[in-house]
Amino acid sequence: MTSSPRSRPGTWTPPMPAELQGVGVSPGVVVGPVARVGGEVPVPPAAPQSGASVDPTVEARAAAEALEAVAADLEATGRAAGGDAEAVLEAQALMARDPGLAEQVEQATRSGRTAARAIYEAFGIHRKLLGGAGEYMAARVAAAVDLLAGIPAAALLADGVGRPDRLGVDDRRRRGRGAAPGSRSSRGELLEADQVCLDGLGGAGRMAVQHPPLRPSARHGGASGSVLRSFGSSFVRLRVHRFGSRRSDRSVSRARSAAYSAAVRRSRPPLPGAWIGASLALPVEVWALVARPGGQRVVLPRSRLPRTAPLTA
Amino acid sequence: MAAAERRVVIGSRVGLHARPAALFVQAASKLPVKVMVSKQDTSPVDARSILSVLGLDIRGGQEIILTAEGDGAEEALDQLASLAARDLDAPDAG
Repeated sequence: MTSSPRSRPGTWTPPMPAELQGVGVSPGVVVGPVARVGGEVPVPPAAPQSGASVDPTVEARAAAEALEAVAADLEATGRAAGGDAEAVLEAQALMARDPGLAEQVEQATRSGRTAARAIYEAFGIHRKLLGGAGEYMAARVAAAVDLLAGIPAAALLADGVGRPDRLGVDDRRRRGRGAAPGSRSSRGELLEADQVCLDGLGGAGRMAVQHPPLRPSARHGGASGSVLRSFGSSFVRLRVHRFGSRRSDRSVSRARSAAYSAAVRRSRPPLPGAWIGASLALPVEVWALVARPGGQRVVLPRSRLPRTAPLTA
Repeated sequence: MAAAERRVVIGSRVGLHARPAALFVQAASKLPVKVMVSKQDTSPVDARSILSVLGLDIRGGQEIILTAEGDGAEEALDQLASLAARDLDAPDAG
């Protein structure tokens, strides 16, 4: 159990839940990058936490690299997913590579903004534009708005790579890892997940899946992990990679197991949960889960992203 | 040199959103000239910018205006106009 860190002047602290409660859970296979939906992205500091002056050239390059990293990640995930999910993720990658956005980001860095803040502000412009375009538009571009909420955080994450101190990012928390019971990534197990929670990907990359009732499994270490719950954010989206379906050959299984083992080792205390620094490989299919913290069940686990349907309706 | 212009009615039922918008922007990005897109009552935006294109809220059946300048502008506009007129949300559109 822990409490929320207090912010100090000049220090940006990622939002944390006020209280964390842990229960045992089996380390599982629901693993992947996460993106927050619906909540507010933590506002990154306009100036470096260290108090150092901003070098516009460095910041502009960092911002460009962050956006490209996000775009590449989206594309890679899309390729692994295939189908409709690939189309959606390709479109989202285009947003990260948007030339108009890039220009706005560069302008912001020239004005003395840090890379993270520049991206945040540039996306804010488009988010406001899209969000204010009326009900029809809001429905049609729901995914875009989601992305605008999520990508700055992801960009913060990318920006923090190699320079975690700037963002207060714990290097061990660059990637969240959810744990599913039973250690198999079957649809049924995902459906049984009660909560999928993420709080501040850009800041901490915290993610947890709670699974009452606990169904420990010996397959991948039993109830050796821990899970956090009761995050304070609203809706969150978790992009998870499903393993072992279309490519359920033994090599995949072996790689997966090895990755889990390594991840579990890394997630042992002092990290307060199933947080790992690894990004597991071999994604086969993208699943989307939408959970309401404090709610009763996962809402939309399926083989495409949750906003796909409104986009094509 | 005067800007070349094409007016085209959007063929995708959902308009230039989601997949059709992505295909449109991807095509515009590959053209040798910068193409601007607008609706009758809006300012032109860069057709390579998906955020700007989405912001135009272009719906199926609406007319858009494509403009470009320079060498290859006519051919570029023909290509993009032809694409925009198709139903890009059809399963075989990609």
